Amino acid sequence: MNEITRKKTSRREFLKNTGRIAATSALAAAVVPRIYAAENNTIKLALVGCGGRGNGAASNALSVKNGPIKLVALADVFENRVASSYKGLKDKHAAQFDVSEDRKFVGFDGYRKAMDCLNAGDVVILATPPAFRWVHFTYAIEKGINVFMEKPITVDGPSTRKFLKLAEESVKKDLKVGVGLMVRHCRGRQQLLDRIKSGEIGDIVMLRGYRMGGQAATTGPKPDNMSELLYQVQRFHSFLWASGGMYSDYYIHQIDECSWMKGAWPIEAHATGGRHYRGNNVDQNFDNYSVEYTYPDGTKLLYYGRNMSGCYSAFSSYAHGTKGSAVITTSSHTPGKVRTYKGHNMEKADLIWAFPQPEQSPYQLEWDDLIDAIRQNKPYNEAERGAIASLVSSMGRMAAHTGQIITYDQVLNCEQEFAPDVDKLTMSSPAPLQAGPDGKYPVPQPGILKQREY
Amino acid sequence: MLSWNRFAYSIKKAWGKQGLKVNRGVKHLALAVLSLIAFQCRGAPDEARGPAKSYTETVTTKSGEKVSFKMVLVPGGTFLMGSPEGEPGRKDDEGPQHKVRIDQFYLCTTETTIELFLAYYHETVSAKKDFTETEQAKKEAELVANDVDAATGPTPVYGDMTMGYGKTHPAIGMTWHNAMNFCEWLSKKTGRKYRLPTEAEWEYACRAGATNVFGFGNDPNQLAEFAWYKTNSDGETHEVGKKKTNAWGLYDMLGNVSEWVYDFYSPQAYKDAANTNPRGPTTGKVHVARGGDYTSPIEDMRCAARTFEEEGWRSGDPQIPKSKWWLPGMDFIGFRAAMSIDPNAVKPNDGQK
Repeated sequence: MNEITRKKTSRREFLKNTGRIAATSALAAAVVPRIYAAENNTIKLALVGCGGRGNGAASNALSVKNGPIKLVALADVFENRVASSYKGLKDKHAAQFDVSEDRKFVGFDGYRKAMDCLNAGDVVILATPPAFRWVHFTYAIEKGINVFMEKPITVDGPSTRKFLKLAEESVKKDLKVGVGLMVRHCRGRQQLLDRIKSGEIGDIVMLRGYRMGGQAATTGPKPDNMSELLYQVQRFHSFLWASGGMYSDYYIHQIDECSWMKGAWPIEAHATGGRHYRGNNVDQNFDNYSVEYTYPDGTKLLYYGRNMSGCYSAFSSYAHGTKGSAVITTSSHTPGKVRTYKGHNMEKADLIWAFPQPEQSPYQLEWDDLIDAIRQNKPYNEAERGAIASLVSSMGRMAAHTGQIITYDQVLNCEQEFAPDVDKLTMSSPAPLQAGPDGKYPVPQPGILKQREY
Repeated sequence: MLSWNRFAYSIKKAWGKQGLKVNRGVKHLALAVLSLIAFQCRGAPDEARGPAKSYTETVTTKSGEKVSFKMVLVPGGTFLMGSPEGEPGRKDDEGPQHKVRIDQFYLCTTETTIELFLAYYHETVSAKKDFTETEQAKKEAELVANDVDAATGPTPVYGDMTMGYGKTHPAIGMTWHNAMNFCEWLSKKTGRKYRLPTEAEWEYACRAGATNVFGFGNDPNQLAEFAWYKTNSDGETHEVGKKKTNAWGLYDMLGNVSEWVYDFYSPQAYKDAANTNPRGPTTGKVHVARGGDYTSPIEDMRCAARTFEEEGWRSGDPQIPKSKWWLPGMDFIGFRAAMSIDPNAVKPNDGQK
């Protein structure tokens, strides 16, 4: 079920597969007793990973209006992060804020302590750097706790293999699992998908995505007053082991939304990229990436990422069909302003349909949907598709970083695991990545390192 | 669409009942044309001869590109701020109507464009916070500190600041703080005192001497000649300066994007407002934006209509704390720059805490 073959996928198969996954989940739901459906029950939340996005997710969770929900625990490896979450969320959601001093946890084992404050059926928010996602998910499954996890959820092939197994287990336990690919919950995109499936723009023959802006995900050298490990965790966008790099973190949304519209996952990637303007920055990212993803029917997703200040900027994605075209993302993730056109010039006169404005925030909708599924005990598990979205992101990144064509199977079965022992890290552990004698971290060398990204 | 037509119809009926004339806009159009002719004189303001009717400011970016915009003199005077009870679409915060005296000042004929805002952004965008601890960052900070032209700048924008719009469209999605910071940058760059207009200045300039609902008259059927709003915008902003100006030569005062003004918002603001150059409450949480935008229905397009930053404006920012600089995805909010003439007039950072 998790393997993708080169077999051609027709729209009918796409629909059939979607139905099959839903049926599996429904079956699982039928055999597992209801855990947490009563509306008078208060859902308890723990936040693991107290950065800006973790706080944002917690705030969205506390803003769901279908029954009592409160925040009881905070965990992070940085004490100042816990403190700022504490203050920020207490100020904003005083009535639902129930984090006592003894439920603030600092350290690499904080996730266990935070989840120990919950009961089966409560919700943990996993918003640490992605490297730790499988570790924390493992414990949530063990405890029967529902999960919301930020994207990406894996960083390489080996962590994806682990995750796909965990995803299966979580389905068996009927856990509700949300993955922060919030565009999937955008009502406009959902309607666009229905229109594409009904044939409004014909069969999709090409997709395009752009994520081009100023310099990003750079990092200067480690300050003296900080451990190597904490430095890399804090600058996780800069280090492949921690986040999958800027590629995975920035591009996953649009790779996922394009593949969703296509009704298939890409089976191989061919990519270029390079470092021109990193200067004295020591991160492992490239400045630009151009990727050609191939779907099972041979059609392509062309994805362009660039982080160079002063260049043309764009943050959009498009689908082209045999009868017309569609805007999947107009600029940034929200509002999507999705629309369909006759032909491919996307001119006003050719407009077929546009989702009415204004739109609801998908960051809120993804929480409304998750909590509703928990209270109504509906099948709801995004872990597998989140893992595959993360994997195909890694596939494009690996293609650029090695200079080779990388297939789905190659990235999935890749031997390089950036941080195999991430579950054993403590405050005094050495960092998973070590700088060379010149103080610089290894960077990808396309054409020289062909099997490994560094 | 049906409901908007119905609204337009009912609002028209309501005005009809009040016996207001709907053709007054024609007269104002003629005035606008005359004003435009009068405002053709160029050059920087010259204190000795009295301020010029208008001038063109040209900014040279650090990469050598030139970006120009035009400022017109808004003559000093007194006007009735707010709307009368019974004006269709009126909200309570538009009253009580009160007399306000405004000193002359300059106001940009257009909303600040993406081109100009990008120049500011590229010149001032701060290095990643990560870098500030390094030796190089210290050196860079010293360089900036010794550069009289340098201004502090925003953090890198999430995604694409242009949101897909062209360079002659209005700049969008900046916080009030960012708009204020832009004015400081522009002031350092040009040696003139650029700032946001106060709410009273904005309404005075929007009315341009008229006492009617829209400045050009009372007939909502004429709105499309002057403004991009819900009915005619096709759901997006448009290039600045493509509609008719108001009587004082100002484009897009109504519609296209809502415009940040200096004042904090309070629904009670008019109850005890100063009667000369008021600058709004001294404390507050959110700021006022004026003029309605491309998504606005007719009632929000009135000269007196007030809006202010709502929580939803930050909903495109998935992080907490929210960005001090950006309102991601919010393409309906922008601003235009004003410039003080009187040295005692309101300065960008006066008054507010």
